[in-house]
Amino acid sequence: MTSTQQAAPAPAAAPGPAPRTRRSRTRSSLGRLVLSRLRDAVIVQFLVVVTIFVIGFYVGDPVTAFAPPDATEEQLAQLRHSLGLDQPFWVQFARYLENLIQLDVGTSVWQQRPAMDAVWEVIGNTVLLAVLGAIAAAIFGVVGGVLAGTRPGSLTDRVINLIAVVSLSVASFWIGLLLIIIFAVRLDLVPTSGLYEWRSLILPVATLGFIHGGRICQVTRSVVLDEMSKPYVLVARSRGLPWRRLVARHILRNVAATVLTTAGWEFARMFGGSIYPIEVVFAWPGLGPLMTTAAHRHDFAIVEAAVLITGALVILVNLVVDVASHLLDRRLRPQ
Amino acid sequence: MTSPRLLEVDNLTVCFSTSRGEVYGTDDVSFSLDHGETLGVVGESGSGKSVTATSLIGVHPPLTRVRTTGSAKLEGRDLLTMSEQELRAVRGAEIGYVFQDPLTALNPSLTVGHHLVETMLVHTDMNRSAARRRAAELLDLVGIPNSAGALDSYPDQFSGGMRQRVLVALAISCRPKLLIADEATTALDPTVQSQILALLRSLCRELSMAMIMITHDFGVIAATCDRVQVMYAGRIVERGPVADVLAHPGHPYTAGLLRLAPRFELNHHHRLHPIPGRAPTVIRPQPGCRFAPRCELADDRCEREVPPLSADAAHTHACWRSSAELAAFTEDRTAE
Repeated sequence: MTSTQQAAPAPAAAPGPAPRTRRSRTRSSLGRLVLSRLRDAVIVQFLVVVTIFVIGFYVGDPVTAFAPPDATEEQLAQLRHSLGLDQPFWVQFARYLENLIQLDVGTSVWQQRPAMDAVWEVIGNTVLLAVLGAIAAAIFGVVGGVLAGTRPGSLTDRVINLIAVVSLSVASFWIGLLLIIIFAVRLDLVPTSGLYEWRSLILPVATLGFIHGGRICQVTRSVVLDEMSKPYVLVARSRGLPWRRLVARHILRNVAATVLTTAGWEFARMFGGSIYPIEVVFAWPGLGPLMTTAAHRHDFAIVEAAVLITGALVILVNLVVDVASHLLDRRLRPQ
Repeated sequence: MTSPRLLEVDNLTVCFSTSRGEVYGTDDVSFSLDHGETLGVVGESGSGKSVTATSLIGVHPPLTRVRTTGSAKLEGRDLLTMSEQELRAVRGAEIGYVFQDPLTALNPSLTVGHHLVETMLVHTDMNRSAARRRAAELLDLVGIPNSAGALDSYPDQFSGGMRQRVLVALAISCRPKLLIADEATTALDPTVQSQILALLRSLCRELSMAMIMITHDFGVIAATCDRVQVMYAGRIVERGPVADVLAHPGHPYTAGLLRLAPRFELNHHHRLHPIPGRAPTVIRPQPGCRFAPRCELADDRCEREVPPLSADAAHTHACWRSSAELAAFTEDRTAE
């Protein structure tokens, strides 16, 4: 009853059924969660930056790629000096950080402009594809997982399991090509590739959804099955709750956080590599084609910019998933 | 028989298909219950008490395969042949069910109010705010303090006894005609147990509800019930008014159970008399009395023929021995 303002954090196991205190506790613990996750996110992002720098520092010599092939050793040394590449590690790292704060990771040799600009130009397309793909994967996974998990051992269950296993085992670009052949070439329902109209989204999104839905489906099935054997489900049935309501209001609520975490993880896995070949297959003007070409041309600046930004994106998604799970499931809240 | 009785169970047999064969949960069980009457069902674990009750509402644990024969009529309508949809309208609305373990019976993610309101929304045409008002009244009725605030609390904010009160409130929320309390007080400590028993008893009287009280504790039966039936290995072995059965048990098994109850007498040096052996799992029906292997009064006939349970008498038992023989034996035992 006594909702003192100072004592808001750390209310150890308050037994009193007082809605007001409960709500204020939620808000403060949510604030603490966001702050601690933000701190972790900054640390992780810093580690990403360090890793990228160390790799760039030790791998390859940009000057040899940069200078004319007949340059003498003296000219090379002079070039290194003018670019500051003869400075010690820490000096170079400090300068790197200084530039990074201004979002400058260097100039693309290939495109002759800041690498960040080249990445910014296309990243929107990739994010759009990834978000839609993750949504498609979540729909496939949750619908399949719930259908299978609520009917263990049935034909539906076995068929869905088979589909999930196929989704986990086949190569993403192969599925992409298959879909192009069937729906674009044979049936002529959608464009084969590129980004010209909304219908060009259908095939790449379907491919991504299929590739990433399998694991979500398996996880959902398993947690739904687990949830169904809990006594409260039996009790809810003995009260005459319709099966649909029981699944929608009780079971789904309790598995939501787990499923969301899996979906967030699949989203991260897209940026870990699976989305790029799909973009290439569908000639999607995103990070995939840009990064592949940049890598072929030894254009390290663009690859670096892309890795930095996608890293930040994955960290951000993790943060959002953490906070959302916290809001979805009260059992995850501290105390 | 002008108006049908509240509940009439005839020849109910529940069979579970398992990898080791068919297991009989109950075997040819018949009993009936009038409006407002309380019936106690006693027996060891696995004697078929709970199976009898869960088959009435057609809810079995997931992943079990069940075959049910016989009939169970609630005011003339057979529960066993009802469709799932019809049965769903009976569950919670006409038959309230309170389970054993109050700690896991509520969804930890939903408030107590949500549980109550949703049950009433499903079974009545109340709107949300009316259901909420009624939910607060129900919590008052089962003795939960600060009922308005309790509606917005989560199950883990209550103690076990309080949660069992919530479950009772849930079971009676739609004014059922029959309340089944399935080991409803077993998981609670004795002081809380007697509070819940008193609550159930007074609710039955106030709402003129009938109750089936399932327990393994004769003390619970004595405190709450009008009649009692004793089950052993899926069959009813004795039935009668509580006082009668307690004073003059007619079946050796009942007598054994009663001897088991520890008495609180000083300087008595009372010896506990466990019944030798274990209750059987009934995989294949055998001839004769199921209790015969553990019975100290059994003879050849007990192993060959099933003793009948007479349907008419108020106090009846399924045993070939006469009450006098049993009484003499019991006296011997107690004198030891």
